[in-house]
Amino acid sequence: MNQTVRKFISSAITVTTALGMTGVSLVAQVAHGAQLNSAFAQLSVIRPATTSNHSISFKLATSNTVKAIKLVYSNTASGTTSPAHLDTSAATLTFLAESGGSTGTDHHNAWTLDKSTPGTFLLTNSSGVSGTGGGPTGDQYYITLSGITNNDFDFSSVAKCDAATDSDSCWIQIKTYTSDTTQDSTTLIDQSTVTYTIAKAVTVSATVDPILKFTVSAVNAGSIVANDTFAAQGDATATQTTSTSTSISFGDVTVSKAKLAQQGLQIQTNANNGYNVYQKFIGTDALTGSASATNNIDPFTGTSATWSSPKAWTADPTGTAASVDSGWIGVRTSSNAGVANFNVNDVYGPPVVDGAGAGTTNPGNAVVHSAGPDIGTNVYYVTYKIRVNAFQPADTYTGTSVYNVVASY
Amino acid sequence: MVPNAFIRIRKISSLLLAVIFATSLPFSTVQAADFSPFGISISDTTAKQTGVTYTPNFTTATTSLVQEIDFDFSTTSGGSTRPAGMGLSGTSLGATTGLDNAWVMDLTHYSTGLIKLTHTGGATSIPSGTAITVALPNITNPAIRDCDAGSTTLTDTCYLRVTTYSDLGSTTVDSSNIGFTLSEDPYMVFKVEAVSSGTTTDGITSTLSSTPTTIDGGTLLQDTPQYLTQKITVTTNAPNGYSVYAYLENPLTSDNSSSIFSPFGATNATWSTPQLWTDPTGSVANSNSGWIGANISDTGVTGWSTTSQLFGPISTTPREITNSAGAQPTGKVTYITYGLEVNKLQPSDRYTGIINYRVEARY
Repeated sequence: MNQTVRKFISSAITVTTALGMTGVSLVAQVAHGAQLNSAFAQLSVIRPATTSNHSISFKLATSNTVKAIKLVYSNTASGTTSPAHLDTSAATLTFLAESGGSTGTDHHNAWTLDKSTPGTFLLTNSSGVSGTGGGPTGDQYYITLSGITNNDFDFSSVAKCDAATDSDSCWIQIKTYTSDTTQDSTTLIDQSTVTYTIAKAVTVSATVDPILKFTVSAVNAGSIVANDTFAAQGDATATQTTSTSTSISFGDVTVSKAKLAQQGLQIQTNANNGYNVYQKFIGTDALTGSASATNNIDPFTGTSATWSSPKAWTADPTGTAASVDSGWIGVRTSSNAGVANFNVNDVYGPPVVDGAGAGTTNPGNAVVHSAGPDIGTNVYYVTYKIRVNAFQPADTYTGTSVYNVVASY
Repeated sequence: MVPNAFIRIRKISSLLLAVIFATSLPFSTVQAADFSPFGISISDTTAKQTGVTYTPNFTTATTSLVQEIDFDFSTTSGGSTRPAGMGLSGTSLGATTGLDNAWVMDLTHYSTGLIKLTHTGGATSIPSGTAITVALPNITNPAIRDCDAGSTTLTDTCYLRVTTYSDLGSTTVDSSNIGFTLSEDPYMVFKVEAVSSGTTTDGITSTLSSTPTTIDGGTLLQDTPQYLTQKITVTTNAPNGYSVYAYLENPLTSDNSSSIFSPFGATNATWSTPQLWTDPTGSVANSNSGWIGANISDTGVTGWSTTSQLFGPISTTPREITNSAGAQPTGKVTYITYGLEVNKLQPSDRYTGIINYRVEARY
């Protein structure tokens, strides 16, 4: 297309006349359609086919009274075809500042939005707003249109705005006018075209596999363990025997003298809902005599102790017949183990004795409880205490204590 | 091409000054006259367009013998520097009006922007008021900012001086300058590309492959980071540059609970003060027990002048990952490497999140 040069005598014509004798003729530019400056578009959401707020900003190039602003979305820089699937029908004008940019004073209520042409917004203000031009120093408009559904390009039949695969940069033609009723070349003040980009989202993902590690550790004789002091009970202030991860050997037990032993438990898990460690004895009795199966040691029930209401234990078992509460074994867990009512020193509860074995639905008593993951560095101590009275038959007693760990993901 | 664009004709202030100065000189001083009217038609004003026909039209002010007509394209009015991207070597003498057939073109000085027409029969008389047009075909237009390097729009004004001489370039008859404006349509292409595992960028070797739309960290082992890289290329002629921001729509969240990854939170790590990657330091689940962060290779982003192996937090706050103060017509490449890691407290689950890249070009 041929571009015709237009020229006219501008304000410099006075100079021309005065200097006409020199033969100099002056020319100047027709002042229509100067370039808006610092123009840009911002989208609150850049994903295709997603509702978004579009903000358009520009600085006036020419000082004039602006009565209309036209925004034309297009799939080419200078065309009038809207990008595919762009939906402007629900858009509303929510912000318009004629100066000061995004922090300017909002006057959007003074402007009327015409969105009757899909992909085109015409903003009019019959009173007009006097603006100061100057390009980089001109008044900075900031306009926000909310509720626009972004165009979409992920269809084989859609002509994209550009050649990128996972994004699309389209155009918004911006023009300012001196008239709110007529928008053409005679009322055009400034213009510019900006791009805006929509892009597919990037999905970030990762899987964290479940982990569960359970460790039973030995505790040496003489240990006084943090979180579980052994106050003087007349019988013991610390463990009397060294355990291993798989055995607790109390050795010889003297009538009316308690003995203590411990094991340390550590659990590492990323179970979101935490876990419980349960303890129980499996078999007919907690501990059973090897010489006679009728010889046994029962769970501690002194002062009506239960697991949920553990009690201090300072006296002999209360039974008055052999193997009927003549010997007790009690269990406690350390106060850091998260089990209710064991935050009191020296209290014990009766262990579960499950004659049905380890695999029953009765898991035993919770000796460690956590509502969330455990990094595995904490040690929880389970203390076993045994004491017999004079009715307890002499024998070697054995039993099997098991731990069940149940993680909840 | 910008339809109906007006070709700017600029009166040059320097010329004004020269005129004013001339008025103080004695009237005996020889003064070249201006053509009037004087204009130029350009078949396509798109910057860098090839095969363009320039047709100056000028009406002589002085009755004189004329032996040479000069067309001098320059970056400034009256200057002698050819716009760098303007291609004149392929032009020829096209259709003319107001001239006889004895004029021939001399391209000897095209590299300086000067095209000469000389009259083969010696000087010929041309009366004042003669309207002359000369078609100069097959010219390549200058690029934006070839003439005004400081132009902050997608337009640029270059200049043509036409001079008639009564001899071979010594004695001026008439002479005028005219400005013509070229323009360029705005464009922006934003491209995200996959990067394969084992690729080292900015001192970090990716441990898994990405795609343009996925960052899949696979199964994370406790205290073992995974790094995934994407290549981002921005190509634009936006004269005031651009910024690209990355942000999570929501925190990286587990499928079956509200467990989340935290933004990379090594000591003193912010987006403007990135730090070396370290294992997550949280001592309770969902609070720095899992981290997502990113390294960017663009040293132009605030705080990233030394970027090697450093990471900043990725969150729902948009973070500038690359920028430019001006156009990038050949494309600027930036690599962004995401780091993902959990410690033993991060609840097991499948985690997903959505990262958006927000592109803002400034025209």
